[in-house]
Amino acid sequence: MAIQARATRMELLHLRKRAALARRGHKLLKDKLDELMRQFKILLSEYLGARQSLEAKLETAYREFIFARASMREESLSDALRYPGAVATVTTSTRRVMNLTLPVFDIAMTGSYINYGMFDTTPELDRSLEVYSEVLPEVVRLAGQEKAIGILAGEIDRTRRRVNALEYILIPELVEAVAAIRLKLDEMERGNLTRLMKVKKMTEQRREAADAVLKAAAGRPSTG
Amino acid sequence: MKSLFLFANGRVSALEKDLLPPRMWQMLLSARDVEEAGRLLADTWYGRFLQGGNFENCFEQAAQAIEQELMELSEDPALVRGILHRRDVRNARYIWKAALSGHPSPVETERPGLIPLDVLRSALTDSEPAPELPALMSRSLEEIRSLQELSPAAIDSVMDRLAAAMEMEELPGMYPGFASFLAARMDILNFGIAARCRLAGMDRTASEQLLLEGGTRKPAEIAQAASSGALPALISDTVELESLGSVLRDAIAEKSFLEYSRESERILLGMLDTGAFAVFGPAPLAAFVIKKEYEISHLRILLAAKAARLERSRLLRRLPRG
Repeated sequence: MAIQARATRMELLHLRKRAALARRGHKLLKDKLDELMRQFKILLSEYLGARQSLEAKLETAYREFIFARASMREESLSDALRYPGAVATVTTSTRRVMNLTLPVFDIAMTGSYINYGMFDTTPELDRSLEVYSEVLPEVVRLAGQEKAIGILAGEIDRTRRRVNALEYILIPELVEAVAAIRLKLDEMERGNLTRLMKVKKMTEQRREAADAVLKAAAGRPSTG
Repeated sequence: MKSLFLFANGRVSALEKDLLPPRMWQMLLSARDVEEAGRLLADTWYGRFLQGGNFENCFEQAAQAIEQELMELSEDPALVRGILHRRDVRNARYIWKAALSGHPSPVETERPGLIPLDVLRSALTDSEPAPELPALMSRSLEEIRSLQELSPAAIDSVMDRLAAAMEMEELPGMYPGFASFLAARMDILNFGIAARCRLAGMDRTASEQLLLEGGTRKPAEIAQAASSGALPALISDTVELESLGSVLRDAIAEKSFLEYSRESERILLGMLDTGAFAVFGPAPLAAFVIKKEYEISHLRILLAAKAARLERSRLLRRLPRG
């Protein structure tokens, strides 16, 4: 919707100020968007690399686990996994990127992942748990990265919408409103000028008429 | 003379025809997917238990049918005890460990063997041992009660020893051929445990405590070999297991025991097939039951691998068939 404004000089000045502010804001937001995109790309490339290596390791673990699960009775497997011997402590902190608070997760593990009897369990279970315990810190770190990417993506989206709103809606509307007011003011000025010229012309005509009357009166012989 | 097992072993000869032949294993291995493997399996002895493609249910029913045959054919209660008490030991492990570790809800158990689950549950609180509990189990329960640190790992250690003792004391009384099979199985298990402990970074004392009695090699001997990196050499010097030296070496180096499990089971199946079991005794029946157990285990592995679309080469690294 176009900006509705009274065609006054005061309004014109006000709108010009708003347009200048919008342009400055647009530039700042555009710079912010560029920096956010740069940070996003860095984070994304780190994340994709880590994810690829994680998936390769998980594939190994799943392949071993398939054999462990098939070789063992379901009850034995549940029993072996029911009492974990390792304790994982996740610590959370934050870091600031472009005024955004991004989460950082870290994990510390204590104890042994093997906490079951060896008689009814298979070496494949050991191997898959070993890989799972190796990849757990990566999974947790990746969760932090994934969340950070989500937050950054949200902020990029919001900033882009603001930039677009300024670039394609507010600034053009302000420019249009300023132009419209200027046109209106120019037109009013021209109207005033025309009116003044007309008045002047009429005044001159009246003066000329009055002068003509006075002249005519002066040319007539005196009766006194 | 009942104890000669004449009828039972004649029946076992007939039943052995139900074991899957090598050609069927080849066909199962070549199956494109789990559905095709299921269709092939439906044409075998397992077909009668296969309803709605539920393999777990099928194998459970197949195992029950085998046990039924065992109980009908065995003229020696020791054989039935030896086979079925293994499941009682597993159930005891689930129940006792959960109760003593403060697990809040009831845990999953297998079908009872010869001891009802209620007896296993109440054994923990009863002051007098229940008459249904074998002496070995009562002793293990006492040992668990006297543990200073009642951790799941400590309970597991006692239960592992109980499982090994049950197997080694109840089953091998039935002729030397079968005893050597069980001793080889215990050796294979012990070498595997020692290698697993080594890979998990356990010290010699800790790994020696996990090793089980009953094999031809003493736990201390195996633990010593594990700590000095001589496990492959020691297994190469062990009767029946000579061929496992290089396999165990590769397993430790690659941290993958698929080939070790495959070759071990190949040796054990070979011992069951060609073992010098006395014809007039319970050993052929016991051998048949154990062969069927291996077959079910291998089918579960095969179907799990097919369901997960594992490549045939990887499946063949684990499966001693085909």
